[in-house]
Amino acid sequence: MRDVLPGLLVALPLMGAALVPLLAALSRRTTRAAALGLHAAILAAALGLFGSAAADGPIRYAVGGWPGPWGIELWFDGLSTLIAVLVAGMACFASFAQTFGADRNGAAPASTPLREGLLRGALLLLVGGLLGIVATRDVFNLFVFLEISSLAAYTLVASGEGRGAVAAFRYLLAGTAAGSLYLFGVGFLYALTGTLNMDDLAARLPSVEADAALTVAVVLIAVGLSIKAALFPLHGWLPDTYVYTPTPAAGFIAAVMAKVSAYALLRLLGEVLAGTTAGAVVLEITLWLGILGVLVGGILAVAQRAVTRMLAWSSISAMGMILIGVGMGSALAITGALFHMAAHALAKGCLFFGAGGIRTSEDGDEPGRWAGLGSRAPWTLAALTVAALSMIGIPPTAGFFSKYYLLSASIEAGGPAGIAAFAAIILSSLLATVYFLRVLEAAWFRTPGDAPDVAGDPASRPPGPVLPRPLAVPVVGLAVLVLLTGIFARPFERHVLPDWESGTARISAPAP
Amino acid sequence: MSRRTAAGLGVVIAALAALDVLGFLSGSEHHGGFWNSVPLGDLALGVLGAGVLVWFAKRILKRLLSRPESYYDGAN
Amino acid sequence: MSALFLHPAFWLFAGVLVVFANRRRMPGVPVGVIVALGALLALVRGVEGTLETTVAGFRLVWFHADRLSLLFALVFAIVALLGFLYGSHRMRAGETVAALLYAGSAIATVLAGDWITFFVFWEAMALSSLALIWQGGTAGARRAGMRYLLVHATGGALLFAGIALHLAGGGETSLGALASDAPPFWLILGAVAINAAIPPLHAWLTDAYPEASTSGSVFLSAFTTKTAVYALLRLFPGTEILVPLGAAMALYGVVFAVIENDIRRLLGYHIVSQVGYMVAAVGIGTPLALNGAASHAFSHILYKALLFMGAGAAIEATGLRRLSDLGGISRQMRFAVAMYAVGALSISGAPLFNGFISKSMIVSAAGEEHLLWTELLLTLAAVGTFLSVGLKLPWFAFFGERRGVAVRPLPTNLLAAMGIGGGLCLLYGLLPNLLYSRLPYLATYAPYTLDHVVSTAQLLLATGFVFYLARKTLTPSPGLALDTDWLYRIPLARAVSATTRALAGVGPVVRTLRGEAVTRLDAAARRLAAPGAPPRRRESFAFRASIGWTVLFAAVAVVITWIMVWLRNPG
Repeated sequence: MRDVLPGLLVALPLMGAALVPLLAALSRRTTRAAALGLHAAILAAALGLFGSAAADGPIRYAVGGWPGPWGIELWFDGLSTLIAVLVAGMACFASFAQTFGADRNGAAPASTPLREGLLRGALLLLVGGLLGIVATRDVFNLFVFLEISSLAAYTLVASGEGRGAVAAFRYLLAGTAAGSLYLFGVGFLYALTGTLNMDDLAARLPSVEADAALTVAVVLIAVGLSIKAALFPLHGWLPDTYVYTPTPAAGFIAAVMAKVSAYALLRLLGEVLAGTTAGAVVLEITLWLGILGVLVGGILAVAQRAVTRMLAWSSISAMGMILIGVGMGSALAITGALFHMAAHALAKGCLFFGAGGIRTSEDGDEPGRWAGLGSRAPWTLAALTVAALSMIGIPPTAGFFSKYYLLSASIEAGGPAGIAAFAAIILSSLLATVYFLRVLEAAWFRTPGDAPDVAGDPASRPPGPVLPRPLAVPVVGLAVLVLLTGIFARPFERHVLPDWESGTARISAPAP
Repeated sequence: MSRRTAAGLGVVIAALAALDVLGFLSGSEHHGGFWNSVPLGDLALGVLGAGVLVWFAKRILKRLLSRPESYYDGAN
Repeated sequence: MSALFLHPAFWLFAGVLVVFANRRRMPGVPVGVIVALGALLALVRGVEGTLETTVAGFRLVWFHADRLSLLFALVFAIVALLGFLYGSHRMRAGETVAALLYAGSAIATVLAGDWITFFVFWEAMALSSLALIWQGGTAGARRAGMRYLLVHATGGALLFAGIALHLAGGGETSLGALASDAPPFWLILGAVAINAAIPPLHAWLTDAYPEASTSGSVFLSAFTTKTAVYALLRLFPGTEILVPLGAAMALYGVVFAVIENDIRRLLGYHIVSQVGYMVAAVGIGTPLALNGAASHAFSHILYKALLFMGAGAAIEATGLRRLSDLGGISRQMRFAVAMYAVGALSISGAPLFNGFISKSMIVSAAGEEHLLWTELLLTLAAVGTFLSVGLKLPWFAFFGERRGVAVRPLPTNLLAAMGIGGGLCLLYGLLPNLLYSRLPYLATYAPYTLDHVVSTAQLLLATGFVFYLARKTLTPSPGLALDTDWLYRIPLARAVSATTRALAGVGPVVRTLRGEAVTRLDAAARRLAAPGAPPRRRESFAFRASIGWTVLFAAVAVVITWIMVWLRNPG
């Protein structure tokens, strides 16, 4: 199993991406079943790798039988398999959700089977790219997968109606800049050390420590990945992208895309480049920018009038929080960062699926449009409430515990950065309370009649359920996961999150 | 205030004063403030306190803080 | 499993499920009454003990019953029962669910034995009380609820920070008095002070409570502030700063009540004032004072609920809430007015009523510790309480000139709840040992001594005399009085909106500036390359500028990092 699954994990989505659009010629049902089946198989492979890495230690897999440092290696330890499971799991929900909007009559291009097949293929390609980033042990190969995932993401973003194409173009520019900077950085590293394999790099770096070019290389790599991770102040692409992406893809992109880049930052700066002074300095800067991002994201989320845009700014705040954890780099901080990755992915996916569906069904994105939904769709709204409470950090949801670990790490770190991080996390909870409760208040306590900020007649909304089944199932499912992760926070932390020993920078498999 | 009410009030106050003295003479253990140890001290304190309270609240605080009910209407 | 039924909050939370499942078919309130009765029965036996579960690696002591927590849980269950009875003619499923959750989480908070359980239910209490306020259903309730949320979210964040620091510093996981030399002490004290409505952190109370429904404010008057008093008793006994704070608080509420015109806001200021007695008593910290705080909380919940029921009865009967609109309605609602009078005499500390047996305990405890100023301020606050609640409010709301206000008859359940509340106030006033035998600390106290009764009678008489003289001056007039909520309703709101506008404005400004710079550079380059060619359109620069910005950032980051690296190992 250990010698089959690694190849499958990356190959399945890439092959599927080519296959699924072809199936569109047969029937919609076949396409859907095939896509969902592929995603399920990928999730099974990821889970299998996770279990295997936990039981028998990390897996090293030489692609095509060429061992490192010459060939490309894949590497599955507790950390990478965890992110892989997260990505594959969210992809299952997104694939389920992709039925939404696909067979809506009216908007002609959205309803053709070929278009649906292509979008499903793009999602598979995106998953393949992200899993490649997670799995690879080669810094150049990482760039390749970064570009694959980006291209797939541009397609999905551009498939949105209205300003989707403009948002995709801006995202493309930011993503291209990011990729180029990262590639420059890798080029410098290759020139300095003559290797691209991460283990080999880590071994050779001490000999070039004194070289000023190393600083340039580290900064370029960090800046490139930070753009993709939406680290303040490189977050400009994020709000438009998340808002204009079609709902099923938005739920997936908002949940995991930036987090995979944060994972790459953690892998490179926290492990491979950890021995260098430049790496340590960059992590410190990341920490402070993360603190700023948490605050700016929260404040601007309060200022938003549209729900999805508010969620997008809240994501910038959350990415800041994850990067605070990455920047601190202690075992506790990394635990907090990974916990927050999981908690935020589940909750934000749930919220984007829900808010996107409501934007369609209520024909508008202001909180006032949510008026009366509590009585019309109590279970869906209850699920969205759970997700929102997790974003605020109310126990026993997952978000409470991730913030708890990050706060403990801030206390442990101490110093001005620790105090600032502590205060920023607490403040962000406060801001999140304000911006989420505004929406929940409208949903539960208002009737459509007394929503002053809605223009037009509430009777004019389109008929049908608030959330159709393709969105309702992921919303409820993710909310349940948010609750379960929270209730079983301690076992989750002990047995699922990997150990991170800073200093030696080795990531061991989680304890069985 | 009618004559009868005033007379009744006088009787009550006299009775309270007598009880005060009685309580003082009975030597029950007492830790209170000085106004407890003076006959009718509580009465004096009450009149003074309530008078000052009304004067302060109605004459000073109300002037400083009173606003029309529509004051917050434009704000949150 | 049988242990579960012992926990009174279990009954209330189970009621939530029953009401939710039948939300369209039956009114929720019979369920409310029944489950509150169940909670009460679970408590009456007063079984002490501790039950804990290890959930997911955390040791959660979800039932920690000692004399202190049982006392609070008992009175919470009583007032929940009264509240559901009082509101049963008008409470719909939503309000019933909010009230059940609110009462249940208040009881669960006082029965929590560890920090995490305590925090969970403390937050649940904040959210469910918010839901209850929003059930008021008016635009005013909605906005007041948002402000309430803002304040309590701050409190919750302080508590969370305090507990996180406490536990990270190796503190005990079980609840207990905190050492005063550490940041957790002050953070948690701040959070509790917000819920206890200690000025200047009190404005959420007088802002939001009058906006809830008539039955909602009965529930609200009971739980949040008294849970905070419980927390003070449990965590901060004998903290000296609380003595002046409490005494000032007692007087502060009284002074503002004198000029208040909204009947329920007036009563809200008297919650602040009465909780001031308890806060001061916790600060004094002797067994007698702590018993005084606990028993005054017990008494206060009963008579304050009764007073809010009376104010609610006036609102139900007339639809009016201002003193300046009401008047001359006592004939049509004699029983409600009589029961209000029982509550008013109780809060004023008149002998034979339950306020007397607990308030005199606190004043005596201050006297025994020779805290002259505290005793004086608390005595003055008692005078002011009788002046506003005992005389001004009933005089202008129920008696006084008849204005031809239409009065609807009051439903029986409402009057029954008031009757039971009034009966309890009298019962505990006449038989103080019913309460004293349940008090947590070792101290004996005899309320009905000659000097207590005589001095109280003198104070009440003097107050009545002053009211008689000053009744013209005290005539209420329409208008509102500014309080500390002004700080966040005007300056803070303006500052926040200015900040967000500035932050939202930074992006376009930077983009414009960058666009401008790129345009000029671009134009200059073009002039050099092809003189006389027309300038290009602007839009494309917005996109080009975002790349420029990234490259600029990368360059700056390289320089900063290089400097920092060089500083660390020069050469």
